[in-house]
Order: sequence, then C-alpha cells, then structure tokens
Amino acid sequence: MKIKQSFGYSCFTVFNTLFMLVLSFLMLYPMLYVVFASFSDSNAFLMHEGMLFWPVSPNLQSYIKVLENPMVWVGYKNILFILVVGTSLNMVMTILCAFVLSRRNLKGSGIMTGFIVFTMYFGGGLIPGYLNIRSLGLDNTLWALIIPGAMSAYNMIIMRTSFRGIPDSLEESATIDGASPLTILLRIIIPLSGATIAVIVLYYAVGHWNAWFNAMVYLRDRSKYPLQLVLREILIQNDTSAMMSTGQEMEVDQKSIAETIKYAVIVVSTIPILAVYPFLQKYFVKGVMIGAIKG
Amino acid sequence: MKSNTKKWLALLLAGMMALSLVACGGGNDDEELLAVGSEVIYPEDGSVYPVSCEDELTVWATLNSSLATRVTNFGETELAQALEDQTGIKVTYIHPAQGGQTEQFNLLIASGDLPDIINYDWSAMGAESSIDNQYILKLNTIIDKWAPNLGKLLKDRPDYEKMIKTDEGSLYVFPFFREAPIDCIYQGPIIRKDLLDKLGLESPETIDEWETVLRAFKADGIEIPFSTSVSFLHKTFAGAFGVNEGSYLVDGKIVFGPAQDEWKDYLTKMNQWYNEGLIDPNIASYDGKVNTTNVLTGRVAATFGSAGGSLGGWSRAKKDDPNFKLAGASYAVAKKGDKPEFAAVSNPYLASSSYAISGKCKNPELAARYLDYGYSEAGRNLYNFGPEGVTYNMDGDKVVFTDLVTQNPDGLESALITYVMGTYSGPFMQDSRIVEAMQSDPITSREAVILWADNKMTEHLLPPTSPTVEEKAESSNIGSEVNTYVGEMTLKFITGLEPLDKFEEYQKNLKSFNLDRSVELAEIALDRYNKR
Amino acid sequence: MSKQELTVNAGQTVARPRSGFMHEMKKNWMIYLMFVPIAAYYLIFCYKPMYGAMIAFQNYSPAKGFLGSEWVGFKHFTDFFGNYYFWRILKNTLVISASSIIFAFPMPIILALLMNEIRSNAFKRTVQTISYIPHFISMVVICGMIKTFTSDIGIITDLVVALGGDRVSLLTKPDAFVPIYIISDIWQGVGWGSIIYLSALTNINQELYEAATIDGANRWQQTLHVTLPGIAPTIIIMLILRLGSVLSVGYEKIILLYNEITRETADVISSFVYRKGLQEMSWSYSSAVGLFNSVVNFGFIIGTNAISRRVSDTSLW
Repeated sequence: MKIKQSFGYSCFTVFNTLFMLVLSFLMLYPMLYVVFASFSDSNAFLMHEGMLFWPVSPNLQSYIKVLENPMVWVGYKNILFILVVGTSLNMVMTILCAFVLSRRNLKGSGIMTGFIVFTMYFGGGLIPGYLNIRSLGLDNTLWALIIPGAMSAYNMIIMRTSFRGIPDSLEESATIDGASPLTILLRIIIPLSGATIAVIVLYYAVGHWNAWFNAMVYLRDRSKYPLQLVLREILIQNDTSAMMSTGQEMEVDQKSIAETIKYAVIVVSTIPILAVYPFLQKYFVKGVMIGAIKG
Repeated sequence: MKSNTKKWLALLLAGMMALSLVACGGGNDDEELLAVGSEVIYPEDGSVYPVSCEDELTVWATLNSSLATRVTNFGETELAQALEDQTGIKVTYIHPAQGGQTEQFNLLIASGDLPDIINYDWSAMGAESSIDNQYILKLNTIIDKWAPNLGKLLKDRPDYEKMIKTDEGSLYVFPFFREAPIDCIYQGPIIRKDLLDKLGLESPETIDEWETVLRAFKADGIEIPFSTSVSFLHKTFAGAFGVNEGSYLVDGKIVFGPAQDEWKDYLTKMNQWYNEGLIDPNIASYDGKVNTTNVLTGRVAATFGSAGGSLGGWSRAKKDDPNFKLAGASYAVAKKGDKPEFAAVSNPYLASSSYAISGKCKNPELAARYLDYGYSEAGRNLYNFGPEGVTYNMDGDKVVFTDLVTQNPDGLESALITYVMGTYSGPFMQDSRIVEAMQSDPITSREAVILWADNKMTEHLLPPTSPTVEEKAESSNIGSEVNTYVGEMTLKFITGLEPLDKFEEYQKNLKSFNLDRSVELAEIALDRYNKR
Repeated sequence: MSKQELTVNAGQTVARPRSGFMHEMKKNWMIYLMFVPIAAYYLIFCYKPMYGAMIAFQNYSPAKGFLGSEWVGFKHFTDFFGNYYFWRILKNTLVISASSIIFAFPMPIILALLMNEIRSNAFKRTVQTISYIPHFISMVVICGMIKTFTSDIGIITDLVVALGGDRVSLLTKPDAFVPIYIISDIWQGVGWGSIIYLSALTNINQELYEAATIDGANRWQQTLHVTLPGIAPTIIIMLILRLGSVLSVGYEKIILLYNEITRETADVISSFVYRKGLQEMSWSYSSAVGLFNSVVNFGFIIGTNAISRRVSDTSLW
C-alpha cells in the first residue's frame, strides 16, 4: 500500500508511538504490581507503602501455598472441560442464529430477533432457573454451567452485524450456482468472518473462564468446582470489605490469609487465559475479504 | 410500544404461572413427622456410643474457609474420621461454596430436596415457620429421647436455653455456644505500648486521658494518632458519653443511640479531634489493609482490632523490632474508675453455626445421636482439642498440646485446622481453654482480652429475639433509610461537612423516617423473648 | 477455502418473488430449520423459568414457594419509588451511565483507530495484548489500586496537589467520585473494548483505501471517509446495546469505592439494593427493582433502535 508520507503524518506517527508506549506502561502496571506482590514476602509486603516496582524480599512462598491447595488442580481440570465444550457449543449456536437472522428479506426475522432480545432483559431469576435445571437433571453437573448459557444474545448480535457486512454479491452468485444455505454458511460466511469469530470465541472463552456464580449455586460437589470458584473462595476469605460477606458481623476472630497469596492466586488464574489472545491475533489480519473477492 | 410490552409480559406471566404449577408440584409431600429408618443398635454394655445402624446421614454445612484450602470435603479430615470411629455413624458432608451459603440454602428449600442435617441460621429464617413447613423438626421430644447431653446442658444453663427457644417454646437446633463470657470478646482498642512508655504515659482510660495521649502522639510526630473505621470509632469513644451506635438496651428498654442527645456531645468531641488531626483525616475512605500498613510503619499509633488477627498478627509481623509493642487499651469512659458501658461483645450463642434436623430426615434418632455427641464429655473434647494422644494430652484439668501442635511454625490454629472445630464453630460448646490457647500466641493478646472484657456491655446487649416475618419486613424498610441517613450524617458531623447545629434537624428527620416504629417493633419482639 | 468457487459477478442480482407462507417455507426451509434449536433453547432455558418474575408482585419466600407466597400487587414498586433516596440513586445512576457513554464509550474506538495506524506488526500486537490485560484483573485488586493511587499520599493526589489542590484522599470528595469511576473504567476496559473494533477494521475492503489514495486523500481523510464508515455499523450496534443498559451500573465497583460521604454522588440503584439485601434477603423487593430496571432499559433499546433505523439504516430487528 502506498501512503503519502506528509510531514504531519510523520509527526503523528512519532506521537502515536510514544502514546502507545505510555499506554502500554499504564496498562501493564496493574499486572506487574500483581506479579511483584505475588513474589513478595508477606510481612514485608504488608509494610510496603504505595507503588511497587520489584518484589519486596522475593520468595516463592505464596505460590507453594497456592499450588499445595488440592482444589486448585481440581478447578483447572473442570474449567478446561467447560472451556472447550462450552465454547464449542456457544459458537455453533451463535453462528447458526446469527446466520439465520442476517438473511435479508427473511420473513419473521424481526420477530425472531425480538424473541431473543427480550430475554436479555427479562428473566425468571435464580430459583425458577434452578428448578428448571433440576427438572432436566442437570443440577450438580458441569452441564449446568454450559447448557443454560449456550448462547449470548449480545454476542449473536455482534456476529450478525459482521455477517451482514459481507457483500451480498458473493452469496447471490453462489445461490445461482445452486449452493444451499448451509454451503453458503460454511463456504462463504464463516471463512470471511475470521476476525469476528475470533473475537466472539475470545468473549465466550473469557466468559466461561471468569464465571463463578452459576457454579456457586448449582454445584454441590466440590470436586466439580471450576477454577474461578476455587480462587474466589480463597480471595474472599474473611475479606469483609469484599462484597460477598452475608452482612452479618464477623462473629469470630478469623485470621486473614497472607495478602501475597491472593496475588499469587490471581496470577495462577489469569495467565492461562491471557495466553489465548496472541493465538487469536493471527485472524486479525487485513485483507481477508479482498482476497476472497478477487478470487 | 411500552404498553404493548407490558401486555406481552402480562400474558407471558399468566402462561408461565400455569407452567409453574407443573414445575413446583411434588415439593411438599405430607410425611409422617418422625420417619423411622433402620434400627439404631446401642452397645451392650449400656453406653451409647458407638452405635451401629445401616443408615447413613447427609449433613449440609459450611466448610470453614481455612480448611477449604486444605481439603475438598470435611469428610477427609482427621476430625471427621475420629467422629465416625467414636460415634459409629457414617456421614456424607455437602458444602455450599464460600459466600454462596444463602443462595444455595434457598435453592435447597425451594427444591424441597433436603439432606438430613442442615447448618444454617434458622432463627433468621424463622424457626416456627420452618417447623410448620416441615423444613426442620421440632426437637423438644427428640432431645428428651435421644439427646441427653444437650438436654442436660440446657437444664444446667437456662440462660442458654432461652436463647435457642422460639417464643412459643420450641427447640429447633443443636447450637454452638461459647462457654464463658470472656470467650465472647475478641476485639477492642489497641495502642502502641512502646510509644506510651517512651512518652512516660499511662494507657488511657477516660476520654480526657485518651485526648492527652493522642495529643502527645501527635506532638511526637505520629501522623495519625488514632485510625479505625467509623463503626469502631463509635465503639471506642461513644461509650464515654453514654451512647453507643445502633440499638441496645438501657434498663430493659431498647434505645437507638444515634438519635439520642448524647450522640451530639460525642460528635462534638470527635469533630474537635478531627480538626486537631487526632483521628484519621481519611476516616471516610478507611481501608483495613491500608490501616495495617500504617500501623506497621508507625503512621498510626492507636487503632481498633481483634486479638488474634490484628494484635497477634501485627505483633508477629514485627516480632524482630524491639521498638514496636502493641497492647490492648481500655474503651473510653467518662470518669476514672468507671467500667466501660459499651464494648464489642458477641452473643454466646452463634445462630449461624447451629445445626437442625431436617423434616426430610430418614432417621431422626440417628441424626440426634450424631449431633448430641458434641455435648458429651468425650465429644466436647474431641471437637475442641482433637483426638486425645494425637493433638493433646490431659494433665489433670489442664490440656497439654503435643509437639504436633506447639511446634508448628504456622501457629496453633493452623496446626489444629484438620483436627478440631474448636478454633471456629460447630455443634458443640466451645471450651474456654481452646480460646485461651488461641490467644496465648503472643501472650499480649490474652492480656488485652482480659482488659477488654472488663465492661458492662452484657446489660446492654440485645438478646437474639425472633421478630415475625411482617415485623422484619417493616423494620428492614425503615432500617434501610435510617442506616443510610445516620451513616452519612454522622460522618459529615465528624468531618465538619455539616455543622453541629444541624443536629436537631437531623433528629427530626430521623423521626420522620419512622424510627420510633422500628424501635417499637423491636420492643415487641423483646417482650416475647423475655416471656420465654 | 476454495476461492474459485466463489467467483462473483458483481452487479447481478436475483429477483426474489414474494408470495405466501408456504412458498416462504419451501424456499427457506433450511434456514428456518437452523433456527429450531435456537428457539428450543430460548423456550426451555429463558422463557420457561420466566414465571419467576411474578415474585415482584408477591412477598415471596422460598419456603412458601411461588404459589404459596402472598400477593401484594405493586407494593414493592411503591416502596422503592417512595424511598427517601429514590431520586438520588436514580439521578446518580443516570449521571454515571451517561458519563460513561459520553466519555468511556468512544475510547475503545479511538484506541482501535490509533492502533490501526501503527506500522510495525510486532509492536501493534504487543500493544494490543498489553492493553487488554487490565480487564482480567479482579475488581477487588483494581479498586485496591485505585484506593492506593488516590489516597492522601497516593500518586494521583500528588498530581492534584501539584496542580494546586488540597492533599486529601480523593475518594472522600463527592465531586471526584464520578471522574474516578469513569477514568478507571476506561483504564480497565479500553483495551478489551477495542478488540471488537479491531476485528471490524479487518473487514474493510482494502480497495477502498487504494482508491482513496489515488484520489489524493491523506491519512486523516482516509480515516474519516473510509475507516469510520467501514466500522460504523459495529459502532452503532455497540451504542444501541450500551444504551440498552443505561440503568445497569454494577454494584461491585461502586461498593468497593464509595463511602458514607461520597454516597451522595456514588450510590446507585444496584448498590442501594445490595445494601438493603444485607439487612434482609428480600427476593421480591430486588426482583421488583430489577423489573423496573429491565423495563426502562428495554424501553431505551427499543427507542434508540428506532432512531438508528431511521437515521442510519442499522437496526437490531
């Protein structure tokens, strides 16, 4: 691509680069802080004021404590299953629905969309949801964390917006060639929507990774806990400032766990999902569309 | 469009209600009150334990949060093993997630799918109505027949029995009790002893002495002489003016402290201290973790905290520093020699740690035997100190912990976590000796507790009354407005955002929120309690 | 992907005959069939439990169940509207939401456009990856940092002092709450939010840029006339969805940051209900407030969608 390199644009490039560097530091700092804190000695960390640019009295104690916890490994096992199965199901449902609703001139598509959007706002609440899941025999299974959230209307709408951006001409010619809707979806729509699909995969995967509430209410068996619920249990331990306390005054003198353990917990729970994004980035390449059109 | 939506919603609701008939059917089968399971067979020598029975029990109970980082289920602990060996009863434990107890409990109730034994705050749930709905069993006869140890305890301690009875006289839980009044005290004011010594000052008792000490700290260069949360500030100093935060008893009548005239005197003093810089300028955005750092780095010289977590924990963190010594300090009083009227004291009965037998229990006899064990001599020792010979040995009346416990680098509680419930709570009476053992590390915290315990709070403490559902709904509506208003205005008076001459207006506003009605409701429940 | 199959004859359109229902079904049966599992899912998991919304009109308790609980009509709604603090929490909710839409919503778009101008691919990828990290750090930790930075000795307070302000914790100033809330929201969410726009950018036809260059457009003009129109549908849809949650300000961050003094600007509907729930678990009251929120939000999404359809041709349905 030829770009007219004016003086103004060069200036812009320099400032943009500087801006991005500053931004990167600002964005990276919270994570660095967490990492530094997690490698710090708990007592030394308690006495530390303000910002942190290196672990204080570095050691591995917190990680040893966290990884000794049998529940952490249980949590990893379960979340991997949920992540893989759940995200796959999400994508099938979302792509199907987005495809249907992206068809122009399809009769009833307005009603179908309304039918779905309505559920973004109105629901039955916790107890009917649970009774429903129980009547289907899903309670206390990992499926209870997967099936009830099989599709997000929000993500579907984003996906549909992207499908609609694909030029009609591509499909119409395929239709003339006798392609069925399924063929169009598999051969045209999906290959041309790589970036959006990557984003939605990321949204769902992160959603599964961070979810704990349904697990908290639907699971009775601790050996089925996903990672986030395990970690949340560690994080909220007698953290009365945190939201979850039932509001009763703490009536026993519990000792708080070392702060540094909480940070180690965050590192252990965050790094794996952070690592997903760079893999998805390769779909963010320009020119997919143009390549397809030019054939 | 909007009215359309509403119509649609109404239609949907109607349709779904019809569906709900199907969904919620089969919830409440009428069962015989006392189901009879397999026979419970007792040993031939006339003792009770170990029993043998084909049935097994399921227990739904919160798992202690520290324990949850070691095991996935209570059944894996040495305590559970020992309980099974000693009682002969097989038990499966089900634990709600930490922080999700309320939700999971409500789902249990809504689904009607109840285990044999349920650990929950049944008085908050409404004990009588829970019995009427057959969620739990009325225990009066069951205790007479199958729980002699608890029965004896309640006979010996009528004050305890009163706390766990409903207004109608039903018993419904196997409770957690603390043995002695001092066991109900675990927090209070904390001060830097080394600084007092350095400045040649006595530990303060009266409000004037507190003022002198805090001023001396300030003059000595301490940035924030006293820092704590607003609620603990009230607890520490308001008593010197004859008031306390929240509701409490005075001569058997319920009083709401922040509505009293004395509250103004207290706020005037705090406002003066605030302006002098004696209390935390950031009190509004007080944060416990920041406070810990401030105490450890010497920015703060006096605060409020618990014996083990704060005083003990901080002392341990600074054990290598000879110029850092914390000690408990007295709640402020008006005149030298007075006992503090108010203090942070909890009830000896902890409702949230009590256990009920569910209405769906297959074998109430077995469940009663299991739960009653904690009130027997042997069971009480097991719950409090662990298996004898493993964690402790008796030396006359004294409990001597073994090296397994005393040599543990993480401290006594950590060492005992899989062996005992005595360090937290369960279906038994907590022994004073385990409380003392927990506080003996480091030794200063026991001294602090003894100092804090010297107060008249028992005269003011509200007993665990049981308001009816209607009473609760009404007072919670009033309470949400009152508490928000009091919290905001109190802080504004202290920090000077509102001048104190607005106090009369504030009192008038409180009246307009129907405060009197909520006090009246509390009185009604109290009357019923006193008539038990 | 076999690109050869997809050869296009641009300009050729197929006339679509319209007639009755049967014809539509016959023509598009496969598409309707695809919707069957979706509809089944929504019926079973979303519509079937919806009877639960009726507890807003009851004094519901799980013990009594949906049929046994007493009906109280609109009592919980009138309690809520009649609360001394109702107007305050409604105002605060709207102020925070509106500020967030005005200031926080455009940020991910701007960031995506700026990233789009980075020439070096490696640098671009690194910045992208870094910028989305804060999204993953738990709210408790993020709020802990905000508290540290804005405390009386915090680095942001230092900045305020340097600009002539007082040295007090910023979180004790009611006026500072909304800016702190919004700025930290941007800090935590801008990178994550930009991902969707980055993906939309990749869908822009590159030929358009080439054409623009030939026409002599500079970078700025290209951004204005090619890039922005290219991602406009995404922006509009995101905006409609955002406006459809105008009353939903989450309680988590609020209750971690507010205090009695800042409540006059910080207390929102969700934090109010949360506090009330601490006193007494009231299923019906919170359900009533939730229903009120939903109705308002739903009204907003319908309204903005109608405007959007007229103005921009982008619409949810």
